[in-house]
Amino acid sequence: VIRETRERIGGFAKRLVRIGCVRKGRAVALLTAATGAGTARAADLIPVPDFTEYQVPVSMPPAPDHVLWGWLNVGLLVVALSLASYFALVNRSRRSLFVLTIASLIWFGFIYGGCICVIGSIQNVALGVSDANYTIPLTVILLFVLPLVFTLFFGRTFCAAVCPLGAIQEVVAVRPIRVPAWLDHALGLVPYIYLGLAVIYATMGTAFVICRYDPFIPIFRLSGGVNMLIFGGAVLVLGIFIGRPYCRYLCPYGALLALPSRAAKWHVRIPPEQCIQCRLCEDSCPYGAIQRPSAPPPRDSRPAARRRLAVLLVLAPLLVIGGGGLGWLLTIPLARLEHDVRLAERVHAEDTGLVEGMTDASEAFRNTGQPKEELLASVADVRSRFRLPAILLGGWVGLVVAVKLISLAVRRRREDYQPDRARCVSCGRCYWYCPGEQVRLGLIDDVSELVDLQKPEGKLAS
Amino acid sequence: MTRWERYQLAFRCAVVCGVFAAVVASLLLLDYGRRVAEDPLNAPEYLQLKQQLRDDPRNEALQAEFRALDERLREAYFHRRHFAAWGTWLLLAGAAGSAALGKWAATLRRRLPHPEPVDSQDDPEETTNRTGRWAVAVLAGVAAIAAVALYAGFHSELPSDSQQLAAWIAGQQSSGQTAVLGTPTLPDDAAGTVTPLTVTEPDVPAVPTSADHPGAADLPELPAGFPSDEELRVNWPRFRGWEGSGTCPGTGVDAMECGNRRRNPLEDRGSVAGQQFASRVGRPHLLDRR
Repeated sequence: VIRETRERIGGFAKRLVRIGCVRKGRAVALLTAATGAGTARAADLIPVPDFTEYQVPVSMPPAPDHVLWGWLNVGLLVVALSLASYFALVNRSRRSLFVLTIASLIWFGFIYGGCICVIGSIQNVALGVSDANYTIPLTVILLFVLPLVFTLFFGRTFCAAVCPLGAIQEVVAVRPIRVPAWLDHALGLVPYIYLGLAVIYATMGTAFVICRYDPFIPIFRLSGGVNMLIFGGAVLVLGIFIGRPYCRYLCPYGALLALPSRAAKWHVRIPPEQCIQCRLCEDSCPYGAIQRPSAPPPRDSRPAARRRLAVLLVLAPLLVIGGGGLGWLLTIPLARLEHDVRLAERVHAEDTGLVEGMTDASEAFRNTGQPKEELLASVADVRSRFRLPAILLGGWVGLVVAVKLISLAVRRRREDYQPDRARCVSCGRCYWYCPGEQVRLGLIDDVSELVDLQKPEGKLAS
Repeated sequence: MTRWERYQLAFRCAVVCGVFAAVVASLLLLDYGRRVAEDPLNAPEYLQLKQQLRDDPRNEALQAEFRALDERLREAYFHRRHFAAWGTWLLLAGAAGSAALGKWAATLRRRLPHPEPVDSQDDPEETTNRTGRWAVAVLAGVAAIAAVALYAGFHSELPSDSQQLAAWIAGQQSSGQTAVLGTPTLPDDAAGTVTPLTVTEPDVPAVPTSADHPGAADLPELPAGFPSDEELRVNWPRFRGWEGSGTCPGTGVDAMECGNRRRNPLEDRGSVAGQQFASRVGRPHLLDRR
């Protein structure tokens, strides 16, 4: 709605310029009010009358939040993380986690508006690291760091019940089905690529792409671009059948959390005490985050496994270099997200007759009378500056692929059914399937009511 | 009420809520399409009356009629906006009800699984890892092909570095094209040869001062309570624009008007540093006045 109104006002302002009702600067002010429609006053959203000498007032920037508002949210984040960790690890209560999920969704999502969110704070931090002049508030740094610290101790309890993006997907996950493991492995690389892309664009000061393409922010705000609303709705509908699609296949912060989660001091366990390998839980996780017991490969296949690992280790640097080369090729396409580049291409296309008419941006540019060379110099500068980040991005993608291939070539011994620490979001769905948990909850008196412990693989009791 | 009856109740209610949400979503989309198509400011009646008023600006009856039409069109527009706002809440309620009841139904129907016996000869992890490696390799291959295709398919005539820029501009000049818009072209020397543009690495743009802006005197006084640049800079990280895109709201107005430096008010990036923000937005003349 706001976009539509903005476009209407933009068009209206152009008409005003043409008929000379207002000075150019006023029209530009109106245009700018349109671009900042969300922050402009309501009066700015209403087109001014044609036939008056109405002067468009100066738009007031929105009043800043009270400083306590940011700290309140940091405090609530700490409380929510603590509760989630307690419910997941100590209380082992899926119901409590779900209630906390709803509360987080309401507060951090619908009331807080999902901004600045922990996921988006990656970009603030990246920009803060790359640009010494960037003012990054302490509260934003804490938003970024706190979930990482909690994950280092308790696993991904942030994802379990605190993150509003995860919460809204958890709520709609009514009939999740399991995604084939091979597909899960492949798509699981996308968040790392997205993370690299987001960091590159943030450090270059081009855009905060995580925010721009966040499918849930328009839902939390009940307003936004139609395309993003449809995207968000589609992700939610998909989330009914595929558990947490955004978290698993897009979320860049999830990719970050996977690293400390592997080293978490305390992590959720499926059985409350000892695993009896009854296999009741093995298909209970809709996110494919339960690992079966496994033994090292048979002795006769070990040489082949070693050779495979050696080949992949040799291949790894080649993948990184090849990725860097591909990234270099993508320098110019990647730089196109920069607005100067898009504007220059548009202006050039207009000049050469490839397109007809002007956009608001190109018209504004021409109205300034600025030499085109300056714009082109800016394009050349942007493209030059993008060269190294593009190579690094390509190298990063190659590294991610190489590490994944190597990890899939290594067998680890596991005695019990365990959550995959990198992928487990500590949601607690698997608890209920464990006979030990059912005993703990008093639903049954003994595990033998469910499982025949005499059978070699703990088959179900008849 | 038995467990099965509760499940039936929850399931049916979830379906009803889901259908309701789907109907509301359809109506909202329909309403949106209609609002986009029927722009009140482009209504034929409105445009016709506007033209009549232009031709006869002193006609008070026409003015009154125009005002009435304008008001009516605006009322209709905002009525639809109001409808959309209510519809959004109804959609949210319907979707939330459907999800909650659906989850309840799923919980009531939850059963412990009956795992089939496994073949001891099978090595599921080896199979998973092997298919996983192939899937990752395929993904990497697809990404590489996509990158090459993007490179091959992306064509830009614009220069990629300063050397290319100089050559490009020289080429434009020699071919007689105007390389400058709205300002004189590059100066030619007496012999008629084109002076090549010397392109240096761009520096950080200097913060404009009031002296740079001859039009500053015409600008309106800032309203009371207008935040200072420092306040804007400090609070900037809290704002990412109305659609969460990181687009800076309210940028470039005054710098545009003052005209010495180009500013793009529509697409000025928002994810810029505080210092850059000050220079890009360029309100120092206002600050000076303060």
